[in-house]
Amino acid sequence: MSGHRRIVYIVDDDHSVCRALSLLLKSHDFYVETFTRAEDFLTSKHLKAPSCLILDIQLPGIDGLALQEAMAARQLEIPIVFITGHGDIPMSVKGMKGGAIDFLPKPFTDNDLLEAIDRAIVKNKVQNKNHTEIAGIKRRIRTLSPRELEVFRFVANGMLSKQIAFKCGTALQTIKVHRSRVMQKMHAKTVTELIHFAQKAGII
Amino acid sequence: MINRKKKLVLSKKNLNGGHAHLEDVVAGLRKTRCNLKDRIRRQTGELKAKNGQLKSRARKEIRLDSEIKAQREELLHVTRVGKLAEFVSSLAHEISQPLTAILSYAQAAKRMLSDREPEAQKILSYIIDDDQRAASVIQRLRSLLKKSAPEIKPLNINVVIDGTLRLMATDATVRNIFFKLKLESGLPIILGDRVQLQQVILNLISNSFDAMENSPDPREILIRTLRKDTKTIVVAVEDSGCGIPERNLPKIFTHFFTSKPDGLGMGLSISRSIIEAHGGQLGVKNNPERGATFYFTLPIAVKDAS
Repeated sequence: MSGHRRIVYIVDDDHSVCRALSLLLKSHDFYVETFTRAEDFLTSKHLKAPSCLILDIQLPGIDGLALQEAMAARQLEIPIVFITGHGDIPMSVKGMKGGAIDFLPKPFTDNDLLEAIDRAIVKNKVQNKNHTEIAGIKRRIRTLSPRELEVFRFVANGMLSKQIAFKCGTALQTIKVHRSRVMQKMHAKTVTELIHFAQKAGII
Repeated sequence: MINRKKKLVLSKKNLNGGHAHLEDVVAGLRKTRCNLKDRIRRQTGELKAKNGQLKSRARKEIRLDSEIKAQREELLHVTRVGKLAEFVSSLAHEISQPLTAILSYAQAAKRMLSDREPEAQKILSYIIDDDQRAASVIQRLRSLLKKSAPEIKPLNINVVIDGTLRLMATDATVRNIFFKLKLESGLPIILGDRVQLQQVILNLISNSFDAMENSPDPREILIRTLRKDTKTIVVAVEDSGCGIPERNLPKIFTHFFTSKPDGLGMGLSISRSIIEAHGGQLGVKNNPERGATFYFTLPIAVKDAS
């Protein structure tokens, strides 16, 4: 297992490039896994630790850009550093638009590579933190009753208790009770925080 | 006796008659000879004319033959240049793979040694340096061949030249080189890719920079544009540098031919393929005094009838 180490996945069809990069990154205390085919990377198990993917653009079968798309479709969020033997600008633009961290023309120095990996890992940490947070919010949302969820949506949309009461055809006092229970269950200290949660969970 | 005399007279008569006959014959012969001479003269003349025709036809055939040969070579050249970009690009890719591996191996080994084995460390540094030297050659090849899809637009060549000179102004100042411009005003519009044409002009000027490396002051590059005829404009870049040795003239547009110690031999061959793709021609001649002039033609854009 990786323990607390940072993980670098490498996908390059050249065995020697895989081995060399693996040796280099291991000497910098990364946990490294290499693949010579994009398919193998997709079907492998991905470890839960800050990770990054060093991805060659030109690959037989699924190429680098196609793998980037496949990962997005599977919501596999591992920041990508593209490497390429062709100085192909249009491709790099496409890759960067797809959210790649960087685009390194081969051969690149260890400094350039390590710097890009650092940025990728930082991004992945933020992504993971967001994921954990969103998962937490969604878990808390599931504890709400249907009426509470309804009130939550109205509040998140900026409606006042009086308006909600009118809309639901209930007493204002009842809405106020629902509302405070929503705040409590969602662990929200302020209405602003509650709206923030709603946005993150994608319910407004 | 009488008889004999008679006979003699007779024979003289005869002889006289024979004489007259002979004269006739001679006259006839003379006439025939004249006729013959005439005919011979006439026929000789005809033969000469035919010979001349044959000769000129042979010359024409020879010329046609060499034209065909030249065209065939031209065609081969264009194909070669077209293939070149493809070839260089795949070559760059093939080489960059092992270079990447070598660089990373060496950098990994260096890190693993940490402060041990200073001699081996030094060797690893040499490997890293040379790997990067090879990488920079590939980088330069790539930047020369950097091909975005050509954008064909109506252009004023003088404006294109102006833009290129601005790019090179600092370099020229550092080298103590001055640009002199004789740009014909009101030149007709041409159709072309601005970036590619700039690349050609840039390449010609930077060649001139190199050629004038050891030239005495004032170092001057004369850039001219003019209208050659109703269909063509010409751009010329004239320097007062070292010129081009006569024996190199036929080779300078071939790829991988270079006279510079660290040259790639790609600039002019790519420039020529760009100009040819624009329907023009790129040529060179040595100046009578010193230096060389590169010139290229471009077809004038045909105005739309509408």
